[in-house]
Amino acid sequence: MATTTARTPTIPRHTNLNPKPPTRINKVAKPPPRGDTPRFSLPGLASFTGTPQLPVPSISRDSLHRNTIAGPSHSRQQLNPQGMATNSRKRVVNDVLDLTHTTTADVDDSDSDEGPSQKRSRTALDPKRKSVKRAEQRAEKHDKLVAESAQWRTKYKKAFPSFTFYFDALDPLTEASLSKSVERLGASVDNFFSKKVTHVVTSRQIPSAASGKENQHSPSVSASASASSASAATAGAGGMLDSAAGPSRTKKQSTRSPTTYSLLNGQKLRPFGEGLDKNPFIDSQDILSKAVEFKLKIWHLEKIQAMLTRINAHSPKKADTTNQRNLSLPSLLRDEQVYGTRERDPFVLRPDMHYFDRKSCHILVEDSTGEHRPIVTKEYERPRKHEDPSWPVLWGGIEGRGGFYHYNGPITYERRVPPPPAPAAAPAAASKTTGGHALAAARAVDGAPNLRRALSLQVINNKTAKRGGGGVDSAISGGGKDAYIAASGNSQTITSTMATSTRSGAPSRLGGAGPIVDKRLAVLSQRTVPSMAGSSGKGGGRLMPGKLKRSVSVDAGLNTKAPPPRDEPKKPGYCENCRVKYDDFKEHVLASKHRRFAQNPKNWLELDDLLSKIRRPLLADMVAARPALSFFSSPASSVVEGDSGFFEAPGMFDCEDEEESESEEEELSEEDVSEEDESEDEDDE
Amino acid sequence: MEEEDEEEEDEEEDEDDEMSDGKSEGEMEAIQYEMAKLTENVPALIGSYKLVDRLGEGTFSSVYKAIDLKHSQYDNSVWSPTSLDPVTGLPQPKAGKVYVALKRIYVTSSPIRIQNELDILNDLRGTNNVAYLIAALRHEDQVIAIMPFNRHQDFRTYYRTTSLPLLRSYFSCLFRALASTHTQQIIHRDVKPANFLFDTLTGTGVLCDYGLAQKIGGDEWYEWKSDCCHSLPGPSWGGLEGRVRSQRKTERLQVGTPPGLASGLHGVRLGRPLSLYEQSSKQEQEYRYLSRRIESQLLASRSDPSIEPPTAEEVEQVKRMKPWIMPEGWRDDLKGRWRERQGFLKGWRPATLVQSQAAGGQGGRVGYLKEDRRPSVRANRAGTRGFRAPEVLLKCPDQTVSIDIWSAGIILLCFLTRRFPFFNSNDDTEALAEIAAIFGKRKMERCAALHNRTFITNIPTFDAPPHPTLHALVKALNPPIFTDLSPDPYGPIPSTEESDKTWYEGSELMECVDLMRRCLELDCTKRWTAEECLEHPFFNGMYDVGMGVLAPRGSQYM
Repeated sequence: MATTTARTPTIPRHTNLNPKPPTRINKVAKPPPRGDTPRFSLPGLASFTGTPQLPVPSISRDSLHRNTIAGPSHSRQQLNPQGMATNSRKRVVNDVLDLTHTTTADVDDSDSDEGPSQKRSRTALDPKRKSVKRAEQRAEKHDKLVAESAQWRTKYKKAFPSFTFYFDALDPLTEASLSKSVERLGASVDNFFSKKVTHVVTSRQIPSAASGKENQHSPSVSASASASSASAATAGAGGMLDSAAGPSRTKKQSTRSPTTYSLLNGQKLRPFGEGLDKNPFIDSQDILSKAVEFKLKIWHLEKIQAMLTRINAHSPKKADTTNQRNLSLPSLLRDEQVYGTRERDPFVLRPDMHYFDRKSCHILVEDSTGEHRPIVTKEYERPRKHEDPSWPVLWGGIEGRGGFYHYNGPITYERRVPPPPAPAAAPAAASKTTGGHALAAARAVDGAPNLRRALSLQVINNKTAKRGGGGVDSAISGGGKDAYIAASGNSQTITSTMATSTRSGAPSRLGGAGPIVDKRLAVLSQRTVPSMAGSSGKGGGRLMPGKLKRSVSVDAGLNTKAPPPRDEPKKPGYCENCRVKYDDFKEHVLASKHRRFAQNPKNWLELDDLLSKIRRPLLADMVAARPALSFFSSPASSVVEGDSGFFEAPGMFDCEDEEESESEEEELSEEDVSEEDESEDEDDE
Repeated sequence: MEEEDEEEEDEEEDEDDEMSDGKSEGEMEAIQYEMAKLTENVPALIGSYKLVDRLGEGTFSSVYKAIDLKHSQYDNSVWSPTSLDPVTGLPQPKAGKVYVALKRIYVTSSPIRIQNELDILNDLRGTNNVAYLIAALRHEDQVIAIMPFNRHQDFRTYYRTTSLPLLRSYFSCLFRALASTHTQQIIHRDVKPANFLFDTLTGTGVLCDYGLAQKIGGDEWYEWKSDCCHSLPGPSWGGLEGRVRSQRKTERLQVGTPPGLASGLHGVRLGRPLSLYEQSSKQEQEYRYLSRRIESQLLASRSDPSIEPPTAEEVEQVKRMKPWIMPEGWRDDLKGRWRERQGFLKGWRPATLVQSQAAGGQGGRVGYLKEDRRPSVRANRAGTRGFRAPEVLLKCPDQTVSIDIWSAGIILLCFLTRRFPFFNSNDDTEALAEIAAIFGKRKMERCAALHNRTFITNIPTFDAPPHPTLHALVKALNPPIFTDLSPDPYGPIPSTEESDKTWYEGSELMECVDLMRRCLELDCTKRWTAEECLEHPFFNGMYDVGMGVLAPRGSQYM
C-alpha cells in the first residue's frame, strides 16, 4: 500500500530557484512548469494570494548552509509565493542576461547564439510581445543551439591543456577545488605570477581598462560583474559552487558595496576599481593591473566556474553535488523531454497538442500545477438533431433502472394503496409521524423492462387499487393513517413479493411471510398476495419447486462426492504473489512458482503472527474457574428437526433489544428456512 | 495494469459477482465441487466447519456458508450475545446448527493484502455494526476468515419499498459502522449495498468486506502529499460546529493558516495547499497549548476552591485531540520535504485561475499533449464503480474517510429515487461526467479546485444542473414518494407543488433528503462525518425494528 516511489521525483519540478545558467541561458528564464499556460505573465495574478508568511523551519544542518549563502533577505524572498516571486524572477532574468555577457563573450564562436537565445528568453517572459516565429523554427533553433554548445565544449576541452592559471584573491578552499578541476582538464596552475601564466582568475573586480576581446564589457556588465564578484567573495566561505545560487541575490548585496573584501585567512583586499582611482601608486602593483599590462586573460571566478560546469556537463563526475537543483544539461534535457520545452508563445497552436474540435464537446481535467498528465481527456461528438448526446444525461430513467437510463415510453405511476378501510387501533408509535407514510410502492409499469413486475403486481393492484393512466392516478379515498400502518407493517411482505420481479425467473421470495406480528398483516398478506398464502407460517414450507430442488441438491451434494463440473470457464487474473498475469486460476495455483511461494514459511511469518492474535477463545478457558456444565448434552426437545432449526448469529447488534431479538429469533426460525434455502446472493462475509 | 504493485493497486475495482437467485443444477454441482476441493485443500476445515453453500463470489474472495461444528467448544459470547445463559451468564448450548460465513481469500492475494484486511478486522472487533472476525486460519497460501453468518436480504428486493422508519434503521446501522471505522482512521473504500448486510426483518445491518479498506494515519498519513487544498484530518472536535469554526478560521485569517485540530475527520478547505509539516506541527502546538491549559486549571483548582476543576468531558476532549506522534527521524525528513515544497508553492495558483487562463490561451482552444511524458497521477482508486466519490475520480492523492460517506449517500439516493444502480458508468471518466450531470459545471469546478485540479468542459447540459436541488431531483425521479408521504396519500401523482408546500417543509421526507444532501456534498470537507450524520434530525424519528414494529430512538437504538 505504500506509494513511496511515486513521491520521489527524479526530475526537478521547479528550476526557477536556481538561476544559474549552465548551458542555455533561456532555460533559466523558464516560466514555471507548464509552458503552455503562461503562469506569471498575467499582471493580475501577482496580487492574488498576497504574501502569506510561512514559518521558517528551525535551522538544521542543511539550512545553516543555506543561510550562509543566501542571507536572510533571500530566504524571505523564497517564501513569498506569489507577488514577490514574480518580481524576483524578473530580476533574476535580468541578472542572468547580464551574466550571459560574461560567460559567452569570451567564446569567439558563440556570439551567434547569444543574440537569439537572449531574445527568446525575453519573449518567453513577455507574452504581450507576440512572437511571430513558428514552432518548427524554434525546434530548429533549439537543435542548433545544442549543437553549438557541444562544439563549444570540444573546443575548450582542447584548449584547456595549453592554459596556465594564476589564482588571485581566492580563498584557499575555492582555490584548491578550482585548481583541482582545472588540472583535471589538463591545464596547469602556477602559484606565482610569472610569464608562464596565461590566465588570471580573480574574485575581485576586473579592471575596466583591461584590454583584450574577452575583457571588454559594456558598463552594465561590469557593474554586474562587480556585484557578482562581491557575492563571490562573501559567499566564498560556503564553497566554490555556491555562486550557483548567486545572481538572484547579487543585486541585494551589491547595494551594500563593501569597501574591502575579507578573505577567510583574514587578508583584506580592496576592490580594484576603487583602489585604482584612489591610490594608483600602490594599486598599480596589483596583479590584476599587471595582468592587464601583460595582456593576460583575466577571468572572473564566476566565469570560470560557469565554464567548468559547462564543460563538465557531460562528464559523469560532476563537481556540482552540493547544489540541490540539478541544472546540468542532461537533467535539463530530460526535463524537457518529459515536460516539453517551456518557452513558447501560449497563443500559438502547437503541433504536438491535440486540440478539441470546436464543434465537439469535451471534458478535460488537469492537474493545475501541471506536474502530471491530464486526469481526464474525453471528447464527445455533438449529437445531431433528435439524437441523444453520447455524454451522460440525467434522464431520470424509470424505477428499477439507473438514473441515466433514457426511458422513452409513457410513464404511469401505479399506486399500491393499502386497503382503504383499515381497522383503527394504530400502534401509538406510528401516530407521531406526519401524515401518511405509505411508502408502499407505487410503481411505474407498462414499460417493457418492467413488464414482468407489472404482471406480478397486477394481482395486488386488482385487489387494492385502481389503475390510473397518463401519469396521474385517480385519487382513491381512504384512511391515510391506518392505511399507512397496514402498509408499513406489510411492507416487508410486499417487498419480498416485489423482489421476484427484479430478477427474471427468480422464484418468489418470502421476506416476512412467517409468523407475522400483527394479525391484521397476516390477513392482509394472505388477501393481497395469493401466492404467498400457502407459505405463510406452516412449518417452514418450501415455496417453489425450484427451491425445493435446489436445496435437495445441496443435501445430496454433501452426502455424496460431488462430481467434477463439466466445463468450467477459465478464470483469468493477476497473481500478486508471483506478479504475473494468468489465464487460468486453477492452472496457476498449481504452478511450481506459485507453490514455492505458498510453501515458503518466510512469506507468511507476519501473517501468522497476526493469526495467532485472532484465535478463537476456547470455552474451556472461560469456564475453567466455574463449575462444569454439561455443554454437549443439548436438550433434544428444543432442536428442530432436520436443517430447519438453526441459530443465526445476529452479529453485533447493539441496537437490538435482547428480549425481542430472542423472541423473534424463535419466531423466525421456521420461516428462515425458506430464507436460507433461497440464499439469494447473500454474499455474506 | 499489473506491472507493478502500485499501478495495480490504483486500478483496484471490486465488482462483486452478484449471484443469481436460482442456481441451476449445473451451478450447484460446480459449487459442490468447489467446496469439496476447498475442504480438501484446507484440512483445518474438516471437523470444524462444514461447508453448505456459496453465498457470493467477488474479485478477491468467495464467501461460503458453513455449519460451525465445534460451536459449543468455543466461547462465542462476544459475537452472539444470545448464546449466553441469561441466568448463569455462562454459554448455553445452542439447539441445532450454528451457521458461520467463511471468507475464502483467493490465493493470488498477497500476504500483505490479507494481513491488511485481517488486521483491520481485528482492530474493529467488537465495534458497532461491523462484521465480527471470529477466527482466521491459514493453510499454505489459503487463508480463510470466519465471521458470523448474518441473515440479510438482497438490496434489490427491498430498496424500492423501504419505509422511512426502516431507512432510519438502515442508515443508523450503517453510519454507526462507519463512525467506528472512521474514528480508527480506517477508510472502508467499498461501501455499497452488497457489503452492508441488512436484515429487514430485524432492522439491523452489519458492514463487512474490508478487503479494500485502507488505514490512514501511520505510514499513509505520512505520505500525504498535500497538494490538495484540504487539511489533514484532525480528530473530530466539536463536531460540525467545531469544523465550521475552524473553516471560518482558515478563511478569515491569513490564507495559509493551518486549521489545527478542529478540522474533523474530513478536514477543512484551505486557502492553498499546506504542507504536512506545517499542518502537523500546528496540530501539535495546539494540543500542547490546550493540555497545558487544562493542567494548570486542574492545579489551580486544587489550591483555590473557587476555581472549578475541568470536567472529565473537557479532559477527554483534549485527550482525544492528541495528534499522532511522528516516529523519530520523520520530522527531519518532513522538513526536507517542506523545503522542497517551497518551490512548488511558488508556482502554485488556485486551480480556478489556471483554468480561466487556459480558456484564454490558444484563442480559447482547449487541448492536451499528444505524447505526454509527464507521470500520471497516482491515487488509490479502489472501490466500486458508481459509488466512488468525486475526489476518488479526480484522483486526489490525499483521500479522507469522507469517501465512505459519499457512498452511503449514493445508497440513500438509490432508496429515495428507487433507482439502482443509480450510475451506470463504464469508466471513471464517465462516472465523473455523471456526477457533473447531476450537480452541474460550477460545482464540479469548485470541487476540482479543492483537489488542485482544473475541470474544463463545454458540454451544454452540464452548464446548469437539471434539478436545482436534490429535493427537486427526488421529486422528479420519484414522484410517488411525495404523494405517498403527503397527508393525502391518495392524491395525484405527481403531486402539485402547491400541495407539497403545505407539508414538505420540516417533514421526515425532507429531513431524509437533507441527510442525503449532506452525504453527497461534492466538497469532501463539507460532507458530514458519520458521527455528525447520526446527529442529523432525520434520526430523531421512529425506527423500524422489523416487521413494521416502530420504536423510538432511545428504546432499542443507540
